[in-house]
Amino acid sequence: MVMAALRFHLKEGLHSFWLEKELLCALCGKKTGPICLNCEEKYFFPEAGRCFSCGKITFPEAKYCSDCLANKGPQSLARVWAWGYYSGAWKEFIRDIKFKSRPRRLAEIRQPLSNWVLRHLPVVDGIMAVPMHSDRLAERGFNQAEVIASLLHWELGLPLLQGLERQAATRPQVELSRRDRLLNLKGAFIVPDIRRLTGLSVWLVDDVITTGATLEACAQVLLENGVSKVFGLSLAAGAEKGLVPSRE
Amino acid sequence: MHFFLTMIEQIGLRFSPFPEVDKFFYKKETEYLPTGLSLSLLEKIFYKNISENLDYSTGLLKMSKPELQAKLEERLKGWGDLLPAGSWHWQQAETWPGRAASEYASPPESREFDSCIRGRQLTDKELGRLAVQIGSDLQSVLRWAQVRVLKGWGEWIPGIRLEGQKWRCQRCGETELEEWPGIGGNMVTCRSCSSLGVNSSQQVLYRDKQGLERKSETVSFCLQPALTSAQEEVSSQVLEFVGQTEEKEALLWAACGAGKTEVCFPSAAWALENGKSVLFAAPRQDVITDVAPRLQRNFPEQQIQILAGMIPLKYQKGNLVLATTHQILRFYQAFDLIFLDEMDAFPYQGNRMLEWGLQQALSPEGKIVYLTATPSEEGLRKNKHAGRNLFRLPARHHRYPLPVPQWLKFTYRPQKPGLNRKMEKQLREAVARGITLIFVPQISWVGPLVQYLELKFSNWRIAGSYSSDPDRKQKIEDLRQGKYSLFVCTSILERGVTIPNVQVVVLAADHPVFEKRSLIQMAGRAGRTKEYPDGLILLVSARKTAAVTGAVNWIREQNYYAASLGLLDLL
Ligand SMILES: [Zn+2]
Ligand SMILES: [Zn+2]
Ligand SMILES: [Zn+2]
Repeated sequence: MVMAALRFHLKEGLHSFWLEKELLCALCGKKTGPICLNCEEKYFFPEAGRCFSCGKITFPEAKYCSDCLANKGPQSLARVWAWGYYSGAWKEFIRDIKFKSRPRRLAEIRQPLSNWVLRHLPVVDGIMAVPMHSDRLAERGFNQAEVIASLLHWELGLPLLQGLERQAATRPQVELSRRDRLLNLKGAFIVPDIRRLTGLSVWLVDDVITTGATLEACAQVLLENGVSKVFGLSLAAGAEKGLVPSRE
Repeated sequence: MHFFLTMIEQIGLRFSPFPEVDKFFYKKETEYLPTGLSLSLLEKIFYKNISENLDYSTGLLKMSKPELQAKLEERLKGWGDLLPAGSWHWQQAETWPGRAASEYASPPESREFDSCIRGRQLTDKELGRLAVQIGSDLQSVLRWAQVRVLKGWGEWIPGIRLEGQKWRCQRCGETELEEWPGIGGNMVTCRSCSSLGVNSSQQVLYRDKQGLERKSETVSFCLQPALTSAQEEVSSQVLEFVGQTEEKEALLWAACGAGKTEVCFPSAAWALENGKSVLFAAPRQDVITDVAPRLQRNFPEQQIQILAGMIPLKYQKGNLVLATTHQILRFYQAFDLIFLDEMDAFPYQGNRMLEWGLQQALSPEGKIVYLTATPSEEGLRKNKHAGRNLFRLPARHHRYPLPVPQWLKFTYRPQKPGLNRKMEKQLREAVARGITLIFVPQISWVGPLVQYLELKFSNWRIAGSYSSDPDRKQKIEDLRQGKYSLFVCTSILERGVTIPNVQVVVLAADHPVFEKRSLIQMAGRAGRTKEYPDGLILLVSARKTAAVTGAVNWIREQNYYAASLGLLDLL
């Protein structure tokens, strides 16, 4: 419901909004942007792989991360990708968007993000965002996942799909243990109108993947309601142990 | 923070964050609509339609319930996506989830809250910090704030509000804001005051309307050191302005090093004794750290709130406050008397944000005294035009004239540091007299010049510094203690630093960053102490610019004026 209001607005006003030019690196603010070579190496690991199951950054030859090999990852998604490593300046950037009310900053990275997504993800019928509970949405004023999805929609021309909704406010994921996270999410998502999604393949977008539990919960509900395939996509996730040289 | 459209029997309609607190307060039937929204969204949805029936000062609606219902339905048509019809059933305040209002009634911490919150303008995050400090929790503090709102002692306002067609940050007054697509339309975030924490149109500010606690008291005040007769004269003029006139603003123009802050102390003492609140504000932290011990020495028993820099807000009590100009954005109609020091100094001049903050922090009857060593011509003109008082203190306490700069023709090339013979001779002379400061226009000049000078004058101790130098603090301390013969820096070397027996050289005095007033400020570092009332000042450049001539004339004029008032022993 709230999403629809947002979407309406996005269609009206957002196109020109994403066309802004940014010259300096969005992360370090020093070298040439939108993301400088330095930061690309440091946070986006162009040579590394992504865990098929949870999107985490892995060694190039590995298909799954060690967590997912131990069956701790999501099971229902066809494949998952995280763009960058959730740390340092990239983490700051994402936190700026969420906690400092600066969704506009996403415009700075629209180009490298959509290039990367085009290179890795399969073409689908539409893009969908992980919904936020209306209470929290009313407080923050925007859903960052929704803004990312709309950005990709404008850049790549894929339709934005609606129909997935969040029912009750769940406690923030970070406060919970892994097991509790899964329980916490059970039943949080619904598809009120089955007809709209039958047979479609989708990218399911979130800002950050921590355990993959949120994506898993959404994917389960989507698949139960007729969606044919769900691919997960996020701006950031963790990295396989040993992949990132320990800093400082 | 969520607000709810709340209807209170016989009272009317409000936007309340806690309908059950309203019910507890009024002891009247209270209902609310259960969809919580940000205050700005509620305003946006409802004000347009009902404003003619709304009393803005009380937030109350003069309308019957059926009338209101009809209006709401009409209004909500356009917002069906955000607020589907089903979410608009009035609910009894008792159904409110969470602890009952009675539990928050009035434990001792709420009295502590009441005295800390006065005169403040804070975000809900900042209220949370206050809660921790007084040993309470955010939920209680927010409810006590709501009680103050119901009593008419405070109000909730959106952090950024549409004023006509234009968004304006309610904390700092900024109108150039970062716009983004939010629910139900564009929203905005303010970047200007972000160093104080996030502020956006989704944010809410609690604005207290009671001002600081004002109570008459005997103020232990002892002037140390005593004022000179020149200072005393001006001091009584300021006191007269503060205590006996209807005028709102005055400008105190004093020579560099004339002791203008002390001149204001008797007026501050008078104000405190008469139950008024007083703020000393300065744009930079170093000025605050310089003034703090002087204030404490002169008001030994007074509780002084010192709010400087970006340190996390610490809530203190007392109606004598010393703060950086940034901090004043956290006050609302709190002060009866404001002394704004160094009004010409970076970053105050031309800064709309601090201008706004100052007006907001001033009580409706309050007065401002601007203190400056170098008013701009425009500033003086404006002052005159506004019919403001101008008080002048042109002489230093030691009754010697200000040292007058000499101009020296020499072209310095930063790419190829070097001095000609004439320049070298002058520099040796300066160093022979005392510690010599060399001011350069750009940070990048500092390093190469220091290197060159170290080679050339290997028996002198030489150093240089600029504002982002990590060793800056230590170097400044060493400089203060006289460990260097020669020190290279940019013009923003801390103004609070007084170095006895200092000589001043300004290199490339014709560079555009050196305006007349910055030349005067740099020259003003020489001859400040009684032991060394004189000093050598060299303005070195290829051309004699208007700024150079202007600065020299200005200083001469100050001296003539001081002499004409009989404030100088020698001229
Ligand atoms: Zn970079
Ligand atoms: Zn994995
Ligand atoms: Zn602001």
